[in-house]
Amino acid sequence: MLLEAKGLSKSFGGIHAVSAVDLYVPEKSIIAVIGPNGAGKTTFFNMVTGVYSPDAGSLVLDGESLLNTSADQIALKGIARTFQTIRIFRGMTVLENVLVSQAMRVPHGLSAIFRTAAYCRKEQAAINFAFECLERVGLGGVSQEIASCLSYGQQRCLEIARALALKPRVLLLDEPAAGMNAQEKAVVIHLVKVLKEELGISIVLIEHDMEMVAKLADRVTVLHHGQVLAEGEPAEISRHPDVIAAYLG
Amino acid sequence: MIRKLFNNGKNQTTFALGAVFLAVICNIILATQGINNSFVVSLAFLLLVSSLYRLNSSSVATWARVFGVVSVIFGVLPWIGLSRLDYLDVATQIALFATLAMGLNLVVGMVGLLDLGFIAFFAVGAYTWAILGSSQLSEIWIGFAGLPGWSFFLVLPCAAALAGGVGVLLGLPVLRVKGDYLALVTLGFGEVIRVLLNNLDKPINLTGGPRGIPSIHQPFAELATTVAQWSGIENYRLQALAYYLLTVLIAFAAAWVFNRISRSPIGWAWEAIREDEIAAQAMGIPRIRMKLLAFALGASVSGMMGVVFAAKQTFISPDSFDFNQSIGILAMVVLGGVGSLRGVVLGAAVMVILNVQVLKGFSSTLAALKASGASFMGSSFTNWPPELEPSKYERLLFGLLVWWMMIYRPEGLLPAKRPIFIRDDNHVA
Amino acid sequence: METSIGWQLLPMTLADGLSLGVMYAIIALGYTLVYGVLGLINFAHSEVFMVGGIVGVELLIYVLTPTSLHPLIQLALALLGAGFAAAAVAWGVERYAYYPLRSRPGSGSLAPLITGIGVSLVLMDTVRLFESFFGHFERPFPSIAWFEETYAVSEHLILSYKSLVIWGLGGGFLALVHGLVNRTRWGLALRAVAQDTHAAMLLGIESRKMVVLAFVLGGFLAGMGGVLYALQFGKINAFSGFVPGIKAFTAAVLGGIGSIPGAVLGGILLGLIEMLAGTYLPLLTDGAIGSEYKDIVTFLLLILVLLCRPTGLLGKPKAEKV
Repeated sequence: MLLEAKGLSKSFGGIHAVSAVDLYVPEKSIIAVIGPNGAGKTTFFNMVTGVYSPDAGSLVLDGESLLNTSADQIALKGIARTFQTIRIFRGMTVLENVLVSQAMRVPHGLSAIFRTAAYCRKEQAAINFAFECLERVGLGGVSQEIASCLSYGQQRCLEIARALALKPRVLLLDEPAAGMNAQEKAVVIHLVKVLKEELGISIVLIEHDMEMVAKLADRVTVLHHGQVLAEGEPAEISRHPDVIAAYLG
Repeated sequence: MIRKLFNNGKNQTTFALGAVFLAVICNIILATQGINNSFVVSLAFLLLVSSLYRLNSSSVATWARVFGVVSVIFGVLPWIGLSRLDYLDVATQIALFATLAMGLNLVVGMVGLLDLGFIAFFAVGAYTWAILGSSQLSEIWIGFAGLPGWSFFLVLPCAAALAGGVGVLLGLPVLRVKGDYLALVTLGFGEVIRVLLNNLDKPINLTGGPRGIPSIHQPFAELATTVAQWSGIENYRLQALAYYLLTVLIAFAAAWVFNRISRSPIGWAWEAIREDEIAAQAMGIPRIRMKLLAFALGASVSGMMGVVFAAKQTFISPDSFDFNQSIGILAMVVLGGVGSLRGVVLGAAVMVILNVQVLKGFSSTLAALKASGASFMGSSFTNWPPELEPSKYERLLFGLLVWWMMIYRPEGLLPAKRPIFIRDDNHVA
Repeated sequence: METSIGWQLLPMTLADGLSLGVMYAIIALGYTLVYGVLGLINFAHSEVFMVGGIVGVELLIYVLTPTSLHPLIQLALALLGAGFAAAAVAWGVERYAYYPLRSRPGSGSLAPLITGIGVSLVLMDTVRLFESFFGHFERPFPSIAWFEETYAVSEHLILSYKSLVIWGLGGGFLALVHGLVNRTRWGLALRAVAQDTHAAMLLGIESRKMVVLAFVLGGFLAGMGGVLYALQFGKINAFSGFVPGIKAFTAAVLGGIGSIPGAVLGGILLGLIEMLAGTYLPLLTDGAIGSEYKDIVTFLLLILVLLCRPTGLLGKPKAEKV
């Protein structure tokens, strides 16, 4: 198992946002996490990426525990994410947004200040890789634009490109298609498939659009009131009586 | 037609160099004719500064830029300065404050942390040399006559490290919590340093209390004596020149390092933190470490300049390190352009000229009016209360400037330029 | 022997600490109110406090003391005048410094802080210039004999009427604000905006009005606090706001910024700690460490709070929304 979250719990001031949630992410898979608003999906993501430290439970990436690891370390160890509310670096160019992900991967000590030949080579490699990431999400043409000038859909794609530049093993996408039109959604669906097939990245996806989930997910976990309500293949889940009940009220 | 003339690269270079030349001529004439009117002098100085900025626009040939800057800063200014020490003093102050402004810009502009006690680190540096490089410690350490002048150059890096260390100690508890608190804590820290400087004359006399520390050793004293013997120029003029050159060298070094570091991956990380801390951390940026780095770097530059300041003044007291000074440096950064290296240097130049020359010029004009017994709208200038002297408007000026800039031109006089990254397909990793 | 002198000083130290604490609490409320609705440290607040104090003292000197009104009524009128003046200044600060910034998108979190500093300097120097135009700098609180009368509780605790007035009025103001925020429709709207500006707007609450309310209410209180400050210390000048401002903000952080009871608790605690430090530091160290170091104690306390409990004593840990 690539990523294994067991019994993750978090409460805020007595309210149990997430209690004892398990999630297993095998290599090269797409796992969807669905559930009504306030079910604890984003809180769960925040625990996996180290933004919140869990009250209880375990989190293991490829045999290595990620508890008590800071968010930046987790990112460098191979778990990248996007945000539900867009959090791009608005004042930087599109390319710079992606370059940030490599800031700690290229040498950043004295060699960067003196711009040694070795450093410049690595910097150019990072820049080229950033371009590749942008092209993969279809933003190659706007690389020098200021990020805040992009359209909503493009900004979501930029978040994905930025996460890709971390060369992640697991990619957490928090409602990547929210607010997109059908055409843009189709692009995202295609993109997610390509990431899995070509780059071998495992993807955990929070999504409300059941059609998209059905098209993409290998397995689905349903959260409700911070707990796992059901877990299974997309087809099973859509017939699950508890899930239907939870969604309808 | 005119636009064509100006868009031509060669003409641009000629034009910019011509402007610098003209400004230099103006300044030389002023200096040699002994014109002391501070408005005229500051106007000439501003002309020089702005012509240098004109020279450094991108359309001017590199050789011309280097030639212009080097010949003015290392040729014309020292030459004029040897006969006109007030000139040299303004130039030294500009270099000193420009360095401080660059250091603060690193913290405020690059990382977006508001440091309101920046001068406290300057004080740490200044008092380090003042205590070590004078007979201040002799009361408790009998027979200690202070370190000799040459050890200044050893103390310089040590004080920078010390100020940086203080910065880390201060930043460590604060940078974990929300950014706004840093403004408050640094403000408080400035007050603490002031209280300490004023009160550490007892039980052991460390800082000399409100009276300060006099007769601080001079690093260039011996060198100046030697040079004075064969050149025939007075000792004190040579020393002033030495401080000018040292300050300018440090300023250039700082500018180079800050420019390079802001273009390095550290700079990318800082900018990302400024834009969105949480997203930056999710992209693998260790945000507390990066913030501490900027904070400590800024503090150490400030501390280093403090050492130079103490040596140059030969006397320091807590008055030189009050809140107004911190705000003054912040005003330079805001005026020039938060985050823009060339902007904050311009901000420092303008503020120093404004502060040193224009306000004091107003004051002396007023004093002359008072003495002459002239009256304005029926009220005699003689009755004008001394508190209303323009040289005391510093605070009002800083305040209005900062307020106005933030609302109407938040990007400053010279906004930051961003480097363009270009894909290189022939690159082999 | 030494220790007994120390004990004898304790009641008076605590009494003075309480007076100081009440003042800090009043100023801290202004910080907390604005922070609650805008998430912004209003750096100009300390100058609003100072303006109130100056206006109150000038009113007393030129208008009120010449009348034969009872000292308490004189004080009440001065407090009202100071409160309105300070509220007007606070309104102006919001209107001409913070509002233009908020209405411009993407100005970042740094711009209001820097602007606040600028406004603060402008207010400080404007008052200084205004006073010096008339040849004044420090303004004395007019000597009104009634306030100096004392009431001996015991041998070591002699309370002047002025302390009693400060406690009574201060406590009254704080209770009033508590009631206003928790019992009225306006207070409810204010709390709603503080909780979630966007949701409050959807419910038809004009968030802009609530922001102005927070500034004006905080300003009114601070102005009255300024008069009490002048009463306690006997004088006030254009720079009197700066240090109490830092202290009061420390108090707000100590109690938990954004929390009204927290600001009160933090203010009173800080006042007591500061007075205790001022009295006992020189005593305990045989004068080696003077009472000037009380400011450093305050600062260390702030660092300690940020280190151990950044949410403050009464603040609730609030997860940043991601």
